[in-house]
Amino acid sequence: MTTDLHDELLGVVRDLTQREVAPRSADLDAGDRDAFAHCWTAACAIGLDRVLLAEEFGGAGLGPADLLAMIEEMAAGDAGLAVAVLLHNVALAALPAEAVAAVADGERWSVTLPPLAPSLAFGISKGSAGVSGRIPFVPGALGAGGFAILDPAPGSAALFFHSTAPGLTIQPYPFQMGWRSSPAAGLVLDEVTATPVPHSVGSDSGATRLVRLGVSAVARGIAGRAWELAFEYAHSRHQGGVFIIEHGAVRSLLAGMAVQLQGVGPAAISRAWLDGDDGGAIAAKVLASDAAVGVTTDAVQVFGGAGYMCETGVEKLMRDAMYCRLYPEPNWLVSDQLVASFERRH
Amino acid sequence: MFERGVSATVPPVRSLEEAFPRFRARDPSTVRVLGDVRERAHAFAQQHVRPLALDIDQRAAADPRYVDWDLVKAGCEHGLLSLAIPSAAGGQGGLVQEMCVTLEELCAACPGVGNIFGAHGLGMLPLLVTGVTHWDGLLHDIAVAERQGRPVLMACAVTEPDAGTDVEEVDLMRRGKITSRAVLVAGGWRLNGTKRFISNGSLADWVTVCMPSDPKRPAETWTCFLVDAHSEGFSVGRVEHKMGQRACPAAELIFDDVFVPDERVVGRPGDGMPSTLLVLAASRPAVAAIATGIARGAYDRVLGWLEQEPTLIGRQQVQLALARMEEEIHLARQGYLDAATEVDATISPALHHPLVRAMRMVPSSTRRRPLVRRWITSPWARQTTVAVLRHTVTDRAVTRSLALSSLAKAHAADVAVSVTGLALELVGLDAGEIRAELEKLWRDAKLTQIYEGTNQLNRLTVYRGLSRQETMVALPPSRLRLVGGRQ
Ligand SMILES: Cc1cc2nc3c(=O)[nH]c(=O)nc-3n(C[C@H](O)[C@H](O)[C@H](O)COP(=O)(O)OP(=O)(O)OC[C@H]3O[C@@H](n4cnc5c(N)ncnc54)[C@H](O)[C@@H]3O)c2cc1C
Repeated sequence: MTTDLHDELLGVVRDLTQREVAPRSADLDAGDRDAFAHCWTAACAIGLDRVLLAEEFGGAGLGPADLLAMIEEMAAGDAGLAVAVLLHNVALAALPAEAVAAVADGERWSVTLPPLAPSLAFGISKGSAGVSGRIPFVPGALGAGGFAILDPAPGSAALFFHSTAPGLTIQPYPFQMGWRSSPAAGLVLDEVTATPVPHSVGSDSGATRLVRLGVSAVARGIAGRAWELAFEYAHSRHQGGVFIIEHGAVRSLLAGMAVQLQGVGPAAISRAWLDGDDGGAIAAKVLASDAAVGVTTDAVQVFGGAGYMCETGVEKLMRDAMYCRLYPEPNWLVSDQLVASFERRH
Repeated sequence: MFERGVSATVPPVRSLEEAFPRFRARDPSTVRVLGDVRERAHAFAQQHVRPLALDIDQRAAADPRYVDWDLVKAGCEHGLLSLAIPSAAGGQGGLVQEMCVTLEELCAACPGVGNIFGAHGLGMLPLLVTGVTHWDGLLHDIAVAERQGRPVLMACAVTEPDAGTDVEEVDLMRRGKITSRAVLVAGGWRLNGTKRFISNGSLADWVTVCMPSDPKRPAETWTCFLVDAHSEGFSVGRVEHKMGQRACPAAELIFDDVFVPDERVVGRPGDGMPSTLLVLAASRPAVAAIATGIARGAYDRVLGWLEQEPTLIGRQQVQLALARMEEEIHLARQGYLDAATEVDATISPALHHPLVRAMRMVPSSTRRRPLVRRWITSPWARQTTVAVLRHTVTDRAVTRSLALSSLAKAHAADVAVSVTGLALELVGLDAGEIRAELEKLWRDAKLTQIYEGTNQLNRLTVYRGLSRQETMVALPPSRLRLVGGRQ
């Protein structure tokens, strides 16, 4: 895509984020379903629900890099919504054409990744009567129309089923401090009839890579917003007879934030995508989410006591950032896979 | 929703020597007393507080004014409101060390609940440090009410909308924008202004509040008043929706021409700022203890959870993370114990001065007689209190103690944030109730980097007091000289 078109598209997403999402960010955080429905509809209206699909499926026919850039823009408004957009797009990309055609306008899907560590294994099994087992923490599972399970077992690239499928129980999580507009749930499957997707449909490890890179885009969006808010506040709050930006202590907080933001620039994301580099995607996710937690924590610090109050909206960014560190798996868990991906290369 | 209730089982408390190895070298009676204090607090926290923590957090998220009064009353039964009240005034005579050990235990269960008792202690601190005249008044009443199961809570109000960091230090105060004001009138003072983010602000019956009488010379005229929250003109404004420590509401307090009689000035008019430094020297180890408790609460929970996860605990990555937590918590605890010991040692000569001892020997009932009370609250008695402080304590000792307290606070707060984050990361998103508890502790932890002065301000105090060896004016000036005074 040309840079001009890319910028124009991003401009549209930014505009939507500023107009529709940001003003509702507190409601979204409070779990207001109407606010979410409004934002989701608005996102669908500009085609954000079908970014990767070819034009014949009503899609925009854009590439993952475009999707990631859009996700980052949206996350500056609300991370939960950005995650919903991300997982929906990955789910549709994993589905076969007929299934995509059957997804109604405005319907939202979610997706689950194969667990990285054996200790987190889903424990789902395919029997003749259907799929059984439990899948933990699926963001946006509440209210989703259907689910794609990526790489469930050798033989198929994915399984998919509708949320109304007999045998499926959706178990909400009692408390969720981050991404609150995408309420997560565990899926308990008791002989659910799920449709397998053959590998040819194009959901190779690219889908899982895309989710991790997507989460790093969400983290960048959150961190960027936190930086903006803190920078602005530092120029408006007076203490010690000057704007607090004049204090070395505040400057060093802001400088530290800027450095962390620089370190997770878009290059890392697109390189990992283009090179088909799973290890790179994991690393990008770890780096970006750690940076997001660091940047948002410091942003609250720049605000002082005001930052701790929900009203200013910075503490929400901190909570959302922490979820980037924990999903699709906690950062500490990736060390084996990361090293393994380098071992494969040598 | 998780179950509400009282826990029947209390996990064992580690022996004090094991938890605080440095104590082996200490006076055995202090070790014993602190050990008892800790065990009592631990039992209360684990039995009554921990089972309610998540539920209170959720309720207060929906309504920030929500307070679990039953729990506060249960705290009364355990003497948590009179812990720091001198025994001469009917309390338990605990010093900063006792307060800190108690807070660590409470906050390991629920930092918000711990902060209700912590903020109450903060509210009393100005009275304890320079308000000897109130020992037989309010402090005695609090202790009596507590024995009757009636909680009388305090709060301390310093922060203003336009002055947060600025009211924590003399030089900043001179440059800051302080809008509150106390005006001298017949028989007392009239207070006007707004204080914000005041912990316990909406619960307290009594508030110690600081205001200047001359806004052009705030540092020189900063005065501490004891305000009855039922006074005309006093009201609670907004109660904040906040990220964590929700069990303890933070409120805006509005003073609209509130009358405060002369005898409710704490210390002497204009002594507020130096006294504040002494108060901070005592309150920052308490925040360090709160932060240590938060980190320990996360650590205890993650350890308990991992017992059921053999594949995880067998991995070196997990073992290293746990060791790291143990390390950080250990050092944070040593930090607050050092600081608390230092501040206790700094002020105890004043508490043991012959004049103070003599006063304590007079029975409380006698001290409460109107005539004797009038004498105790007289300007002369106030001058004498300051003179005793000046005689027994030095500015340098308070500065050093304050710096050590600030060091402990800033360090422990960072530990709380990092350890709770690490604990949350170890258990991940699918750990059920433990995950929710760890999320809460992580949210709670962030506040410790902000209140009692931001960590940045605390570290600048460490620089002044330790790196640069500066001596701040940390005691009010005395016009009276006791024989053999140090300064
Ligand atoms: C939940 C909660 C409970 C509280 N409870 C109480 C209470 O019970 N009683 C009470 O009196 N107060 C209370 N506070 C107030 C608390 O002490 C202040 O929030 C704190 O002192 C910081 O002040 P501020 O919020 O105005 O931040 P600001 O002073 O506006 O600080 C904003 C940023 O600027 C930096 N900064 C400001 N000045 C300087 C400087 N001179 N040099 C370097 N950096 C600087 C700060 O470090 C911070 O990063 C509470 C606050 C909260 C959030």
